Amino acid sequence: MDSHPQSIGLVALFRSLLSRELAVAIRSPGQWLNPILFFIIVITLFPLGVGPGPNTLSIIAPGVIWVSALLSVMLSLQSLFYDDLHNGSLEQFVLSAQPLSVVVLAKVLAWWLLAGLPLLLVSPLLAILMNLQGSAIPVLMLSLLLGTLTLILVGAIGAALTATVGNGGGILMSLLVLPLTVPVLIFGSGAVQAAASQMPVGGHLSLLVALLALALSLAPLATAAALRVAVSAG
Amino acid sequence: MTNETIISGAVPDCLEAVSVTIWRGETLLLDSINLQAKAGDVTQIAGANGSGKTTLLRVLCGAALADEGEVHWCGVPISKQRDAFNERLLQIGHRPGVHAQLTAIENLQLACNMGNGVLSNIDSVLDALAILPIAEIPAGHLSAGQQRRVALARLALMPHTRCWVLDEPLTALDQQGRDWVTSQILAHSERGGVTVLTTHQPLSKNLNGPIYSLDALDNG
Repeated sequence: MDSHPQSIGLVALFRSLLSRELAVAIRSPGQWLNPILFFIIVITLFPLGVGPGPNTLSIIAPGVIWVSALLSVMLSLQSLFYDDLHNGSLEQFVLSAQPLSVVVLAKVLAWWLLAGLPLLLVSPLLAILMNLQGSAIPVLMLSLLLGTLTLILVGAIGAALTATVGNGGGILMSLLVLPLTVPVLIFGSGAVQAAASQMPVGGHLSLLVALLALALSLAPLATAAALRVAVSAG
Repeated sequence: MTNETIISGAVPDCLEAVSVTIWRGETLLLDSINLQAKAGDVTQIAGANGSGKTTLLRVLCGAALADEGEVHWCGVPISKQRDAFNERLLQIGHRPGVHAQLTAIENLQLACNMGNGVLSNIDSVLDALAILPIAEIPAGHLSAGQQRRVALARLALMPHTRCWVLDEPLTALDQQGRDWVTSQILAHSERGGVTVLTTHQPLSKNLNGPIYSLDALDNG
């Protein structure tokens, strides 16, 4: 008789899922490099299109950077569950005794490390390009840190809901998820605007923290439920 | 079918479909299927292509829901004991659950972590399946038969599971591979495990159990 093996802890499971996701992503760099390039290209085109007047640029900088970040994250998320649904891994996850929301959290964190963190790191350069006040750059980075995490958590719900749709999934996902991301955009760019005009930023940032807390607690559950539906349909 | 009265206190493992009915759009795919897969038996589901074998297996393991009817594990609906059933379940589906960008070892390490498998046995199981030399190559570069072997390695890594639901386990395998799978299923049956499978290949005579034909049910 085999002794019944002990389940590994949730933290160890999370770590093993995270390293799996990173290994997969590093071997197919196109998926996460494209959104970063998109972010950089869109923002560098603005000074050319709007004209290089320093005042104009610094007025529109917070909005431009934040809208580009939002779109780049949304575009990258469509394929979040595609591979795993089609190669049967997702079915194995659903049929295991481990909580599906841990799988979702590992995927979200891996995706943020690859497609969210780089946006954060290049944002100071792009902020200088857009003539944003130097004093607003730390606030820009902090708002992007909180905001991109929230966007990926919320976007994962949409990616799971549209995982079985196929080619039209991208548009459908944007329609579903964009309304939910509008508060992040408003408070994110609001924080940067406030910082650029020497106003207090505490209010905006605490609302971003609140949105992140809400997304972190509810989005993995909603995504897991949507994935169960996707697997049973597929 | 025999009616066995259970005398001892412990109920032996048993997977049952109770009037499972599935519609595919407007067409009735499976009409009120009753099926009992008992401990130690290898229950085979036969039928032509498109007769609903894969769909029935997906319902039996809980990956999909039946439109009517229920699936019971040891007399309790699996929907009421999700985690307890999943802990005892080993499912190898139509899609093998092998990620093309990961090596055989990476795929199996995750499978072991998700399903409480024995990590230290991975090398010896891959060796028995003759895929150890290619275990460090991303699975996408392997042949169909080799990918199938990676998926089937889970049979040997999770001997504690009680209920095996296998969709076409012998497809794409050569004789040596089929013999290995047969020996794994035999060992599982001898441990008193439940096996439900579909196959178009003839099964070894050592594997005993009822055959449910979905074609016959259609005609009857």
